[in-house]
Amino acid sequence: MKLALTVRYGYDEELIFAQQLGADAVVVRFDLGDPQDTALSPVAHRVQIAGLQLAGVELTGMPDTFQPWSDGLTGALVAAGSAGVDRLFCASPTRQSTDLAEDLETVMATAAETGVNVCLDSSRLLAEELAWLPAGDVHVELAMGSAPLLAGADLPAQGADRIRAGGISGVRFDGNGQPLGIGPLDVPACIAALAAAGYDGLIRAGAAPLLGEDDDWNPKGAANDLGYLRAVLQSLPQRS
Amino acid sequence: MRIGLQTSESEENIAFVRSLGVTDVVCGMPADIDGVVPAQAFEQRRDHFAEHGLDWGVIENLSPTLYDEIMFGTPERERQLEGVCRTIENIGKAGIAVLQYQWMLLGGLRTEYSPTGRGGARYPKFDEAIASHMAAACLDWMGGGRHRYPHVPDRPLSSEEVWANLEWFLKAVVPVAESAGVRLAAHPDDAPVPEYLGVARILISIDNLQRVIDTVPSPNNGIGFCMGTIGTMADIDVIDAIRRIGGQGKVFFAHFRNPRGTVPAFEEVFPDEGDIDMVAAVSAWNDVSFDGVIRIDHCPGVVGDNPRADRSFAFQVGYLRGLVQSLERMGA
Repeated sequence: MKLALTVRYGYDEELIFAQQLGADAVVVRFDLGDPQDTALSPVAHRVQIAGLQLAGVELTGMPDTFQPWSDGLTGALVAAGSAGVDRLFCASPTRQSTDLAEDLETVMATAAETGVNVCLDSSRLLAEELAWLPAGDVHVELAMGSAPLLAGADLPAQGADRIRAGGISGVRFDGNGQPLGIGPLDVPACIAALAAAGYDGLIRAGAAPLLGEDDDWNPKGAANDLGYLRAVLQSLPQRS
Repeated sequence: MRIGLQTSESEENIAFVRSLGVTDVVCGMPADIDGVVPAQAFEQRRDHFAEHGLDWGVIENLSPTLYDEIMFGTPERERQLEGVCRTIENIGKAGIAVLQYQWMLLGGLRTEYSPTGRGGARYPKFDEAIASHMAAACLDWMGGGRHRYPHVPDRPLSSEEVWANLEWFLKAVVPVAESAGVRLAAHPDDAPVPEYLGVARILISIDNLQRVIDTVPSPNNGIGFCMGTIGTMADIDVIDAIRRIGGQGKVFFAHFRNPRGTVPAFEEVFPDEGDIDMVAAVSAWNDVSFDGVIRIDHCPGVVGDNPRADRSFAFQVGYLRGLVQSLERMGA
């Protein structure tokens, strides 16, 4: 599996931080509501020149109603395609129809044209939507620890089932405000189950917890979670 | 094992430790009064940590200014010994279980702190070829004792002399530690080179650490197992060393650190990229049923970090916890 750190668009320190702490890749967060997050075109180069791989761009600040969301996403797909970004992570909007396939028709078509993979956050999908995906290039990022994949004894099995069903282009571990390893989420068991199910893709931590006093991007929490995930990954071969 | 962090009494530092879910803390000694640290000083500090839900179970280290004359074997050593014994009794009164000490007459050694690590991270480095003619190599770790603790020696000291001084010390203080209920943990010499500026360094091999244990056999005489230092000893297998010393129940405290290289030259790197197989190491700690505190040791310098290196320590806490939980939960 490949371990990624989520960094903000345009922040050099965060790229260097990711490289120093041994991330294999980064997911660059691009906030559509931030006037300083201007264009996707430099992202791939900046990441590459910093010695990292670009796992994708996470779109935040997306509209929560469907049509503006769809318009924003299709526009971002076109921009991503020409910028050499091959994956966009995003949350899905509030559902307005019961037919996800119909709603996503335009998005799926644009994704196919641009060759850019869309990765929807499982925590914002209804159970039936989660079961319906993948659809073409529209995949899922499993949010382990967030609804509907909540921490519990059967979470590793649920995750493994989803991996076997296919269409999972990322797995995220949400500590929900706590450092990974402190809360109820059994990350080692989940990762072992994912590996046993054949998953070899991207993993990352969710929003970094605040540890004591910290800068606004919570680098201490990010460091803890990255170290934790690296250790779990390194322990995997020993178990097999 | 219990994951520990070194901390001061500051609210900010304590808040950071607590937010990481760490409850075992390691701290240095309060100030002495005429060579003796009063029991009340230990108790006040212990109570301060306890009020924040933290357990202060390890003192790191016995302040060198309390026993430097003993290490050098000067005529002043009898006076210092009395103070050390009273201080150990006071540690026992405060209920603090472990006192780590070191026997580095000239302190710890590093020669470089350079941005040559992963992504430009700053790695502390040691190179004996440089240190051998650089008195400044010992300065960084002298701390409060710098003003009087000799870092440029008055004369050479042989290994026989340094061993004799340590044995004299152990024979005097171990019985006191037994009575006080305090376990003494000897830290190996870092860097583990046989001499520095003409002064012998003796705790530079596993056999020599075993000699410390055997000199005064006692349940209160053991080792502070610094994985980073031991990992830089010549011809070392750290996993075997954990099993050998830990298997005797003689590791009272441990440091978690992963170096790259051994003497005469090495560097301190991130725990996931050093020479020690840390998965096997944690597995070995489990095998020997180590139930003491393992403290996250000093670590590389990370971009934007504060002077306490919180970012780097947070990475290492997460890393160690990830290993521990992986091995515990998956039964490896």
